[in-house]
Amino acid sequence: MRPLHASTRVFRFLLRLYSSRFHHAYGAEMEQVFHRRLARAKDRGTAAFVCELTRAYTDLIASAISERFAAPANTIARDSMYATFARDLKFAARTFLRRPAFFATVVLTLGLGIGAATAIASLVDATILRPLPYPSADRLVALVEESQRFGRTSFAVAFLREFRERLTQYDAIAAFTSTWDVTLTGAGEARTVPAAFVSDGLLELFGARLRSGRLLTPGDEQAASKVAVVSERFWDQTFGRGTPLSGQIIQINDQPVTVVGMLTGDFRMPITSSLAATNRQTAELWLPMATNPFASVRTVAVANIVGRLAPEATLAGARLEVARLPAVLSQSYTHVAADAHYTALSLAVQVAEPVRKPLVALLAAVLVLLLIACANVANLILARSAAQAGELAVRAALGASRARLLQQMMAESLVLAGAGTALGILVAWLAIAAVPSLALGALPPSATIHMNARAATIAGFAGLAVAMLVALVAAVQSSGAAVFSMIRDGTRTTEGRGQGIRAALVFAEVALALVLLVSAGLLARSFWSLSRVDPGFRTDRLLASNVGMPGTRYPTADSRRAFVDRALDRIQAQPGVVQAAAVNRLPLGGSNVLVGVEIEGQPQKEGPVFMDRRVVTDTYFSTLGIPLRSGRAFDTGDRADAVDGRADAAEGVVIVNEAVIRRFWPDGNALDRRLRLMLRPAPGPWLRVIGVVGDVRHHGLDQPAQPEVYVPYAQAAVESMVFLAQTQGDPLQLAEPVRRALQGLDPLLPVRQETPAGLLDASIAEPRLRALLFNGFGLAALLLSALGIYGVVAYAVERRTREIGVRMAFGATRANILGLVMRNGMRTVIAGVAVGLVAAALVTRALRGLLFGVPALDPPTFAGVTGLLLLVAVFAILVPAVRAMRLDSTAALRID
Amino acid sequence: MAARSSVSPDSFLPLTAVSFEILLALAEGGRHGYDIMLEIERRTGGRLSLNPGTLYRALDRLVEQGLLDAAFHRVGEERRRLFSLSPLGSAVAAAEAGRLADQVRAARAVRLLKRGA
Repeated sequence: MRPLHASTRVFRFLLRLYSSRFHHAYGAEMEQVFHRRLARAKDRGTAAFVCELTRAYTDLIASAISERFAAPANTIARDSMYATFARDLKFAARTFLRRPAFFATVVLTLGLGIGAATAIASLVDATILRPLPYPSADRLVALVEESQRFGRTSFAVAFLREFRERLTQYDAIAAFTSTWDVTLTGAGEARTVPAAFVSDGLLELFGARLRSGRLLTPGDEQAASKVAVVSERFWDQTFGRGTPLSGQIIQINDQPVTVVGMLTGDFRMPITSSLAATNRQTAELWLPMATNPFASVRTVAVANIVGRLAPEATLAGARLEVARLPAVLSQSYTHVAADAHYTALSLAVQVAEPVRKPLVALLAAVLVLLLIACANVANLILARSAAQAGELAVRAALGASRARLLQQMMAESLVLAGAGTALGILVAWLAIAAVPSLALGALPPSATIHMNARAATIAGFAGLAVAMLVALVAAVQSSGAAVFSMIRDGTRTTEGRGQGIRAALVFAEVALALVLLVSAGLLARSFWSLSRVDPGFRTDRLLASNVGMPGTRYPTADSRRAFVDRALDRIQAQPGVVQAAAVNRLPLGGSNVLVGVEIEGQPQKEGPVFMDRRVVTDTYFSTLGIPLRSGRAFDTGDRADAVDGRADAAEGVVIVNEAVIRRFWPDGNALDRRLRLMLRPAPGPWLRVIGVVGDVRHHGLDQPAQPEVYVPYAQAAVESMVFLAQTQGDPLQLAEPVRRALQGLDPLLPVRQETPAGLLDASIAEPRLRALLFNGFGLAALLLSALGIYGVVAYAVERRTREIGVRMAFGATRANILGLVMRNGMRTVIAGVAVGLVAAALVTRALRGLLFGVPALDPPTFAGVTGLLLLVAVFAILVPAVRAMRLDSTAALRID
Repeated sequence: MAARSSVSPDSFLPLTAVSFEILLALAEGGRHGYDIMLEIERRTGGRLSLNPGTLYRALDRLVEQGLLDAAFHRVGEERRRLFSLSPLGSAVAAAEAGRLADQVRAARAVRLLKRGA
């Protein structure tokens, strides 16, 4: 029903164009006829509907004009208003086809402006306004812990039960983990699959629909059943499209798992990024939370908990309730501080938040561009109507009524607006189609972006409104007394009010362009700074191979250690490999797990300490080029497994990074201090710090490095590792040889390969795209402003040709003329620049959140952009100025 | 009636296409606005489909000229406006029809139109 609503409002608005007598007499009936015609058209399809709507509105406007301005009824019969209008449209179209330059310029300008604005508006709509395509999305709430040190973090799995028991404001609470890679065997080629662990009720909360089978139940959770729900895509890829679900068993991490349900293809999990995870893949397999390896560990935070507010509950109330929890929980969980801060956030807001600011900035930028485009179009149309003023005056004198002239102007504006809008919609459609391939990365994948009917309608009306307004202004300008004085005095001497309006438009364009260009410049410099940030490790000439060693084939730590040793030897033996190492998760793009850490001698008064834990082999630091700041790296002396509790075990050792030193041992003395990790329900043994390495930017180039603790693989042989090979040449060349080397050792081993260089690139893809778009807009704005300035000055010169001739006859030199034109032109530009600078200073403060390494009021950027704009303006004025200079004085005087 | 008789039907000719269609549609009796539109569509086989703007502008003008009468008419709970031909309107419609018939005869005479077309 909504589309009818908006169209009715427009209809009623247009009805007011009629005289009040007519309006009151027939308005209601006309609306009824309108609705019935629309309903009829709707049955014939959307295209018919849109056509009908357009025709109804234009017919309304045309007959309103005729009703208002018509001579009394008893005169010569005229054709139907609509037929006349249609003829005007065709005539206007023909006129424009004879002046292709004008038509093309206007249509292109409008098209690009409207297209860009519509594309960005659709993007904003999909990602910010409606980021969650789930039922009751506005009542979905994310429960998080907020701390000064770590920002927003998730919870340990055990907390789900606590929340369900103690919180009353929700009718459903569930949890999910970020995407984890699991290995899939026993169904075709071994491969890794992105999976997520979810509690019962989670999939329902996100509106998952089954294609067949069932979802996970509380029973599955209780029994920690080995079942899974899969996506349609996983099913098609693994078993083939159309295979019926019948209790197929797959091997996940070498455990048999029964597939119990398949979801429809359009289901997406929301992506939340927190300190704990930056993995952005969307899961294709869902396993019960109880089967998660960290399900019973209270000090490892892997669960994102979400709830749906009960019908009478409010977010504020929910927030108050959950804030009281830490005090209660600290009594049964020693690592929960009584003054910890738990809160409830709207899930939609949380998901959209990372992209909200940049997209809003983009939207503002594109709207500025649209304004500049409209100003240019207005200028062009005004210039044309002023040039036609003479012709209009003659036609008026010959008896054409004001109504007819107005109608014809309307028709012309409509043709321009229509063509421009049509092009704009095409441009927007193309731009939106290109979004996935531009890989904006941070966009919530739960948002499907497509050409928004709403945005297109807005675009259309925007174009229409601009055209109408401008046409009206032009009509007013060229009517009345001004027309007669023009006929009397000749068209070359009067400036007309038009010149004032056009100069004002240029002034506004220049100011807006300056603001846009300054913003673009700041973002470009930000991106440049960002791309030069040292990530702390080598990113080029590295090949990463993700593998999994499931417990069924590698039951003991010894077996895994042996495999890793042999694998490293094999990889190192490949020609072209300089050295090799292994780590459990790659920096920059792997999901990660925060581990509770207890530091000897530092009681946990401020709450538990969490650190990033890495399991690495001896050569890790040198392979990745991470500098050793003090102490030593791991070596073969650390090989015995201290945590096995063997009598001859060597002491457990760890290496920490500089961020740990800064935060916990500010006196700089870290070596030989001890700490222990809370990985299992009971804390592990004390581990001695034997070395300090440089910081690595794990979460993104713009995020500061977090505390990290490195454990030698010999002492913590985990099941999933990434083998890193430092290569001499292009790492991708060695992908196949390394894969074959690994699978030569174990044919069932799934191997997924990537390059850290690619990951680095992906992590700055968004700021790069942003900078590109802004600079694109900025450049377009510069071009349009230059065209606008050129147009106004050229026109002014043409109008004042006679005056110039007079001046020359009285002794003005060519240089004088040049100076005159330049001064007049630059006056407006400089005024625009001045105002623009002030506006830019205010606007860029809002951009602060997007800037990196560059202050909002950066003098070099401001100065550089101003200089550029002035230079371009000078050139734009120079061309007509030079033409003025070259005028032959006698020819100028002769012109009339 | 004195004022009416001073206005000759011929002074209204030739009628615009839309005006004549409206008069034709009302020849058999009064109708509401939407019905007039439907009747014209039916008669012209969809060729002439009037939008509200044109339709009511034309109706308004015909009422002002005295060719149509507009009266309110109760339909259940609503009041709807019924348009019908005034005596002058009938006369004008007949006059226009006569004029068009003359033109058709002339066209037949010079074989622009076949007999019986």
